[in-house]
Amino acid sequence: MSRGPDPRGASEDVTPGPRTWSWLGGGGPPTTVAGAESAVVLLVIGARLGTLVQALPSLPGGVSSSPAAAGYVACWAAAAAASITVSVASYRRGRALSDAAQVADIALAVVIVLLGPWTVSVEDRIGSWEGFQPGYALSVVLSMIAMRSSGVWVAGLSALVAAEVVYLASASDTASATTIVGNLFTVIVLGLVGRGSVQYLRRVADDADEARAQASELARLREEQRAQVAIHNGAAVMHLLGDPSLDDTTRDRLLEQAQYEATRMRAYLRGVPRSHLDPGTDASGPRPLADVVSRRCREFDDLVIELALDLGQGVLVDPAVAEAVDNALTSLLLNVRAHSGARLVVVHLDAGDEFPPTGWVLTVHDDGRGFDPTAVELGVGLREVVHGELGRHGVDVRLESTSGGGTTVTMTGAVAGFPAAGGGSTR
Amino acid sequence: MSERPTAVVVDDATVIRHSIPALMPAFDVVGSYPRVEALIAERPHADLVILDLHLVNSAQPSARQGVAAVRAVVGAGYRACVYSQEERRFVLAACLAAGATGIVSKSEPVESAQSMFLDAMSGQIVVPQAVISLMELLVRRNCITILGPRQRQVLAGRARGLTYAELSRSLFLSESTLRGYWRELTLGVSRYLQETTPADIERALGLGPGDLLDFWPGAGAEPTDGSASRDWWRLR
Repeated sequence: MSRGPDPRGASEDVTPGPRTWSWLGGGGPPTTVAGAESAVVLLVIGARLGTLVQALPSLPGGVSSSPAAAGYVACWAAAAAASITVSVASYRRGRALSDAAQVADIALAVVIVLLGPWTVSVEDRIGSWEGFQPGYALSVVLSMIAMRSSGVWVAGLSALVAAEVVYLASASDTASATTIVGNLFTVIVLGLVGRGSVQYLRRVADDADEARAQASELARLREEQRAQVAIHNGAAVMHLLGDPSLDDTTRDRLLEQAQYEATRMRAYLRGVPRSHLDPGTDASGPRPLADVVSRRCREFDDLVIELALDLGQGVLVDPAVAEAVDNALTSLLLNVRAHSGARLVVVHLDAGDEFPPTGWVLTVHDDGRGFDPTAVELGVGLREVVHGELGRHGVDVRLESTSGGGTTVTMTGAVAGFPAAGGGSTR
Repeated sequence: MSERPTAVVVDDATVIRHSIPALMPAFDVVGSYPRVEALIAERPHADLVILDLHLVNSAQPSARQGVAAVRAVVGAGYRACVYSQEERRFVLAACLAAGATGIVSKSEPVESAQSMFLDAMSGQIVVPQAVISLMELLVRRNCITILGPRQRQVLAGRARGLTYAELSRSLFLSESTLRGYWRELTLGVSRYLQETTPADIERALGLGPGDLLDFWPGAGAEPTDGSASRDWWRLR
């Protein structure tokens, strides 16, 4: 999947968006890039302030046992100030601090850890909160996991580990080597695991945002197609009505068709499925395809249509498929009426010899003037209403026509309850 | 047979009887009659009888018409081609069952109709689209089993309205070959319709018992009293 520039680093705005922390009221962070960043910030704040809270009760004991009480207090205060500053700044930004700010935070932590052997008594350096430096270093490592630059992150982690090696080495007289190594591994492993988790979280959030963008674009396209389907046939009828040479009978029929198309367009504007407009039809259940076809063809009684539906009697299709076929048939017959000059249209339905039938083939053939499909760009009717809509409902469409040789449109679909046979490909 | 094909016209409409010779110059019209009885009484020689189905009117209320007229013409030794506005497919199929060589709709363009009459004169069975779909239905229900795979393909194509040119492209056969298959096919179907009882066809097509009795030849005895012919074959 292709990725654009990382939007997270593009802005230095320190004011979080109005919805950044709205999820704190319940429901957890949203599965967006912003949501993922705010979750990381929460982890950073938890690590920093949590460490501070844990170390606070041991502060008087650490001061009293410290060989350099003033230095101890200064280091503790610097660590506390850094943790509070990082937490507040991260919260206000709604995302982790910039790499530069984190480098400063790491540098301060390295100094605090390196001063540990002079400010903390040797007995307190490992295994107690009087020796707060290892815990503080770990909280800084956890807040580093959100850094943008992997190189800076590796350098920062290395510096902190090195400082901790110095700190722990100074306590080698009171702690075993395994304890010292274990402390070091804790820092390294938690740093690596935390960093990997955050990077994965960001990838997931990136993909989720990209999927949403794609879904939004698809929805926009689908809406555009729905509009084309709703409007195309009406536009064709209006075009035909504008023909001054129309006889009264044909004009009356077209006016009827125009009323129907106007209802369809109003239904689209209201967002009501068209199938709900047909009274007495169970819109939720499978529909007899032969009925759908014959009812639509009857509305084109200015065309000579020969219906051959016997071989498809009993074929039931899903309502959405029935509607798509109905629309496609309307569009095809309007095309025949407007462009073909056909004398005869044959509409043939065949469900094959299987019993019960699993699929169906609907053929619409006209003996009109035809056209060369490779040389003519298909209009909205054939492209969207016929190919597009039917394809989206798993109905395979094949159009064959030659200039002067008539046109055949073959639709192949599945009976309700059976998988689409052709995967909805169109040719 | 003379050099040019010949036909007689049986139609109660005077305009039709007089206009066909002028509009269809490809054959000679050697006689025209308002009713079948007059044709049979005179018995002129002709390659084809162009026969209207609706022959009863106020001037000739007892005229034989419909399937009875077809049967009478065929029984007199003629090749009969129905020329009618009738569109009900079972009525048209009944005419083939009564021995008609062809059925041509009066809505056909003149040139097309003339061409169909010439086909019928040469012995080809001329079948309208509505009956072709009925033929396919009978074949698919295994009522007619004499068809080879090519004939089935041709029938399937014609039932979908495809022309010989379109079929030729998809089946990779010449149009003349396809016409040959079609000729054999229609002859077989015509024989089947003539030899099969309406009850068998009703069962094959899933119709109710007696649905075809109103117009199928042989389903009822033709009364000897000519005045009852209007009731014997009801055009509804």
